[in-house]
Amino acid sequence: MTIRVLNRDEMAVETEHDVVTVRRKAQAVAHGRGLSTFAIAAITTAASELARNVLAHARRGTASVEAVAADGRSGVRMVFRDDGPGIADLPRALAGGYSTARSLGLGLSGSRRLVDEFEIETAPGKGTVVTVIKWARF
Amino acid sequence: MTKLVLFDMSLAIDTYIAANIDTVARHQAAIRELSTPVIRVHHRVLLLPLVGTVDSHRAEQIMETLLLRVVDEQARAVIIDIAGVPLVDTMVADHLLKTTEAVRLLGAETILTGISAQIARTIVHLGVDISAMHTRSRLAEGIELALGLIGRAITSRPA
Amino acid sequence: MSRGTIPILRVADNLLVTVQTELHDQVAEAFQEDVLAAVEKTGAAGLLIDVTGLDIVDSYVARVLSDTAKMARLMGTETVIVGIRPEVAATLVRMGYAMPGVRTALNVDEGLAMLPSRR
Ligand SMILES: Nc1ncnc2c1ncn2[C@@H]1O[C@H](COP(=O)(O)OP(=O)(O)OP(=O)(O)O)[C@@H](O)[C@H]1O
Ligand SMILES: [Mg+2]
Repeated sequence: MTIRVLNRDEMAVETEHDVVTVRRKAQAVAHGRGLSTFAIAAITTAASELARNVLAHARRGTASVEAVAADGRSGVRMVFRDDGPGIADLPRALAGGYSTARSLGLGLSGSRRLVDEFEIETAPGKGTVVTVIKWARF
Repeated sequence: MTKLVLFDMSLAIDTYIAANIDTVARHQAAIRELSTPVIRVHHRVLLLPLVGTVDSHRAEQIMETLLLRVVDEQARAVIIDIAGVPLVDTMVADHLLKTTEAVRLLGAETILTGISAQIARTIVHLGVDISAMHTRSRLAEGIELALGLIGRAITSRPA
Repeated sequence: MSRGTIPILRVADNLLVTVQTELHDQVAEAFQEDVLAAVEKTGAAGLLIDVTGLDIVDSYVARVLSDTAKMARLMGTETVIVGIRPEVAATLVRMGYAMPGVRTALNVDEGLAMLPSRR
């Protein structure tokens, strides 16, 4: 499956306000791609969780929000990239309920359940890249 | 009888989809309506008779359709009758639980009916947490319970 | 009664808080502080938080809402959250956070009916 990128916005994630900006961008692009109200809420919430993770665990990074198309499908892809500490125990972090920040440990596992495609590349000391896609359903 | 008809029509539509991918979008509303027929049985009481197999995609649609209707009708109680679901596995049970939780977040309650001995066994063996659910074996009992929740009751007329 | 971002109204023995703006992190903290200060000052029997205006509730905001309810309960005030939107409810349960222990109602009238009265 080849994914065509129709439009791309890259933003810095360095402050709380940036998290809001990324979230709004995700919402606007999802709306423009014809996602349902439910799908828009899902991808916007995932944007919020993943951007906040960059801020909380890596202090800074970037987020890109893309309008994408593939096989006649319309969607939104987001990539969150940082050079932070990386995730040492990925299976545990993905299982949910695990947090190194004394939080609920919901963000990563929750976002994964909200999107159609979820990919994560991370290693201790090597930063983290999370890529997610949400497709419009007919 | 009604149930059978609904099932056949949704089957027919499924087959149609496979053959005509591009025209699918136009039939979206029809499919949704047929696979998730939400019936208003009383002021503020909704009934969803589930018939046929429930896969993940359909389960999500069911939840979404139901939540929209609950808010539209300001429904206090939702009865989900699963007598027509041939197989209740972990996935289906989990989706039913999630639907119940989401309905509760809106401020309404879910009553699950049509639970056969077979389904009861499955649900318990799967370890699904049923403490958050109202359940009844028969639809009629579910309707009575729902009416009770909105402060109504079915009584016999004095002779 | 509040710092202006979120209106807090008194309805008989209860407080009614209507959340209209997006609760990003700083606003969410101010919201919690303002609401708890009002609870303390009025000794209200109940607290209604109307979230009809929120189209996105992420885990952070969900936690602020449910923590506020727990804190109010410690002060003797019952909380009901009203007006959670369908897409917000679906998103929260899909994430695995159904705000356990938080009471909910479809609208303000019903929320009010669920609350106790001091008189
Ligand atoms: N970008 C990241 N860089 C480094 N570690 C991360 C990153 N994202 C997540 N993690 C690690 O994975 C754990 C789980 O993440 P998750 O978002 O599920 O929980 P949380 O952020 O700790 O809490 P919550 O999101 O519920 O407030 C985090 O505690 C953290 O250790
Ligand atoms: Mg997180």
